[in-house]
Amino acid sequence: MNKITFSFSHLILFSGLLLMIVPVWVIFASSTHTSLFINTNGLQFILGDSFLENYSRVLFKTSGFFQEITALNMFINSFIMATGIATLSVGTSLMAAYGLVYYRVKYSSFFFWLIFITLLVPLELRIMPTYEIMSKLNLLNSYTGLILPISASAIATFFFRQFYKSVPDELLESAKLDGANSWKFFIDFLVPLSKTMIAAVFIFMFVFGYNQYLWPLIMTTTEQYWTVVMGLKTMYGSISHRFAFVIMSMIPPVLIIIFLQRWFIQGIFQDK
Amino acid sequence: MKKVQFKSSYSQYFFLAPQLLILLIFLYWPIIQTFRDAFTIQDAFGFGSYFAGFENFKFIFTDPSYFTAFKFTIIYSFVITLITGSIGLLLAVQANSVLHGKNVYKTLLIWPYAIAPAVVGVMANYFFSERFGLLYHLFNNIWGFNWYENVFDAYIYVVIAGSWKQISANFIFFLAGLQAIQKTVIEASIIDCKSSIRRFWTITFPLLMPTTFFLIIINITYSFFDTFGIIDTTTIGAPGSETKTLVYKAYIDGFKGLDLGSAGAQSIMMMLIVLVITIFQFRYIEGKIHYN
Amino acid sequence: MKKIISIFVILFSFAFTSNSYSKTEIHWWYGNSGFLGDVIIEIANRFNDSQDEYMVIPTGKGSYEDNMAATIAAFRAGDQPHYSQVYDAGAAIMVAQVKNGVVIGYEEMAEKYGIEVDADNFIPGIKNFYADSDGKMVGVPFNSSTCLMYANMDILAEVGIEEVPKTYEEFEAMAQQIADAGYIPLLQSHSPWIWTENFFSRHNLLMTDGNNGYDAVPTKTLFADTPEFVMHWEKVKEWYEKGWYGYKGRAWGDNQAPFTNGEAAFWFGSAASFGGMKGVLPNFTVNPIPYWDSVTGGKEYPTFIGGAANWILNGHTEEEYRGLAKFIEFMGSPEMDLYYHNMTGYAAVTKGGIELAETINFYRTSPYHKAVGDQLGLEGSTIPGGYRAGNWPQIREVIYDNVEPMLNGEISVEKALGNMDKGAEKLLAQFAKTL
Repeated sequence: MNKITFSFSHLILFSGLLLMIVPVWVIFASSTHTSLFINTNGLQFILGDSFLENYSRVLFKTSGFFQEITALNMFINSFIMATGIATLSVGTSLMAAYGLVYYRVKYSSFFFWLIFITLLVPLELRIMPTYEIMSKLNLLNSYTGLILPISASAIATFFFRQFYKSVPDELLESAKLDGANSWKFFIDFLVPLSKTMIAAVFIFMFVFGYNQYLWPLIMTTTEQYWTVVMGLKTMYGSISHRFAFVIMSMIPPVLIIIFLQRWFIQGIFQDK
Repeated sequence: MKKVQFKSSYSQYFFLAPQLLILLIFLYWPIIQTFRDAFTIQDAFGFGSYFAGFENFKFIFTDPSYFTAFKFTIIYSFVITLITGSIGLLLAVQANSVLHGKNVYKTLLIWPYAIAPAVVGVMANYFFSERFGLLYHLFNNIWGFNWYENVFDAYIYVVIAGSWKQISANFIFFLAGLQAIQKTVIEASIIDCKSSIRRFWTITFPLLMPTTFFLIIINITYSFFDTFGIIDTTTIGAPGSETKTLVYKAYIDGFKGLDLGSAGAQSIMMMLIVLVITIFQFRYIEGKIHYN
Repeated sequence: MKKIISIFVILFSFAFTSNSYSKTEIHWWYGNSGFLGDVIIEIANRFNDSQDEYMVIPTGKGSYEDNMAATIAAFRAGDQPHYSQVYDAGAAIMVAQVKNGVVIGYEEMAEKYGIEVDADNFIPGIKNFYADSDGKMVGVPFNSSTCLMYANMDILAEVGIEEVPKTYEEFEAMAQQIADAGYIPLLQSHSPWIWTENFFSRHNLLMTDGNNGYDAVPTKTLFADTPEFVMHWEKVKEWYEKGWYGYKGRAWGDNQAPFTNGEAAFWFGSAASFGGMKGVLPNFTVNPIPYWDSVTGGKEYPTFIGGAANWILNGHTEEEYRGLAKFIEFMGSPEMDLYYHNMTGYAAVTKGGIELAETINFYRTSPYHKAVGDQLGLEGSTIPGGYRAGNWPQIREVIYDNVEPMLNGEISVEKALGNMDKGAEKLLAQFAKTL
């Protein structure tokens, strides 16, 4: 009985693996052939020999008026944007969640709702006015403009709040005995304890920020600030180059998830 | 509920300030604008604007393509939640129960979550294109699949593209939920009930309710909003307007059609819909969850 | 000795610095991308290299719609460029913005700042699409295309057809042969532009009331009310069912791809599609779009121009407008006009450009370029040279939305056209409210 269920499990899991891996593999394999080959023979499962040629061409080919923007630049822009979003979100949410959980003051309830109602309103629902406001603030073509509207989100606050609520009260009591005030408690006691959670939320927000589509699409109106998303939209023509670009655009967030999964998963456990 | 810790309002404001500031400027201010737009009629450049009461709402309610988008969005989120939830759960249960290779499976099933929906859409485009599409030809040979003209086929296309990476997200959370169930509970249940299938449905699954509840919200949010990148790179709303989600239609009308009034009204409607769904979730579903 | 040299060096550097005062910058935002975007950059570079006072800085915004939205947002922020490329469907919006002070017409700018311009340089048919109802130029024609029929001569030879069809009737007579040989007889890439707007133009029929919007603000479209139009789509549906017409979705490229891959005999595209096809498909010709002999009795009417024009935005200094006028003059010179015409396949928009082309016998070596000018230059039409209807981009969406269910039989042709009319009526009413 055990043997059968055992192999059944593996069968299911293996099918799941194939489901996840095969599509990406096909795109990757196709990206290592020349476009001519793909145009005549369709998508490929086996590797070709144009890997270096295609990938270096995509990374370093320049376009735009100032001949400055390359795919590499786009990846860098996305990276900067994602890091900015993650950092800002984690920073502000860490503090905001603390303010909500560790205080009982007259307007606490009001602030709670003020912050959490915003979960109902993702960026897509306020995109046009945001565009205009950023335009008025002259933030349209800048990293700041890319980062700020997306960081206006309470997701991270939600995670930190759950975490703080699970921290035992004794911690604060012992800190108070040591004569710590609120800020000291926060910095010296709570934050170090939250390290794993911080890492998990950072990773989560990084991936979230990196994969933003609509906002960077609309607001990066000069080539310097194009993110990976614009590359996806404007890279026509050569099929293998398009595939190479697709593969490369996946790499940063996927690598982060794979190699930092320990932190990420732990953070989710604690959230549960 | 935490024991009351600090009482100083100023101190609290200090901690809340950074996030509130960002939310006020970059979220609340645009939302107020959205409300203003929804109740105004104006031309593309903002001239000729006047307060128009509910006219923009009347406009969208008499627009057949609005209801098409509404219908599609509801169906879409339902199907995606069902598919990604069940497959994610299945994979998580299996991953939880195997003795060997757990980590390998875990690692290799997690990473699709990190891929951007837009990238998934671009990939799906090739699998479903008439020229290269392996899936296109497969389905075509079975029943004459053609998403360019058949609404049903277009649904299948965007559902597959939309579900693929979300399965991974469901997997992650279900796995975490399963591993959080204490061993003692599991061992006790093995004594009580020999059949592993019955054990699962009577003991384990109820304990997973909080996770399930959480994932339903995540999946609905994903289908409503995050699938924008998928639609924009795959069907672009075709055929007809049949595969436009509500948010996609609002974008087209506002950004390409330059009709801020209509887009604003649609955004407000979406906020209401999400609010209703959330309230529904909390009132009726959470009530049925047994917390241990 | 050293001292003398250093004095000279200092004097020299003064000379240089006093010469390198900052040039007056002129910002030009455009929507083309890829190869067409590169040509735009090249034009700006040539202008900048040809003189010292002004510098045109072009910025690509990704697409026509993106550029429109960016221009609008910039305007609202008080940050608008001098010159912006807006497409044909946006013409009505831009012309309406003259009275709001957003846009300043070409001729009006000239009058206001006492700058000399030559409005007559532009070909009337093209100029009028972007002019106001008095015929004064507002937008400056730039990339003007029209829809043309591309034909794969190899396929035709294989099937035994010698002449490209001039009428739809002729097409019908040969379609089955082509289909039997395993090819797709016909594809087209833009149902609204090619088979709606330019159906009406090609057959000299009015598309909206108010004389296509030139005499009065349009309140409705005449799709279902025009029996010829109904007939046309009944036919298209018939062809679709017979396998004579292939529909590959809404994307332009998806409908072009089978033709470029040698799988289709005829494809309706844009004059500007020529550039991209040159190196790819070996043996093709560029021909006028067919028409129904039964409707026009053999007469060929000119189609509307597509593409885009450049619009001058208000709010800048006289000096900058002088520079812009110089740039416009530069672009409108015969050499630059011909250069653009040659590189992209878009029509030559100035009389000088066409004259130059004929003088150097340009069309002998590039016969395909002639097609667009020929089709646009046809005479004898009694309808205006364009249409002036607001919210047209959204109306095009409504057209798209109804074409698909119509083709696969979900709704009848009458119902589909009726839906289009209804949707258009609502949108036109919305636009009228803002005027």
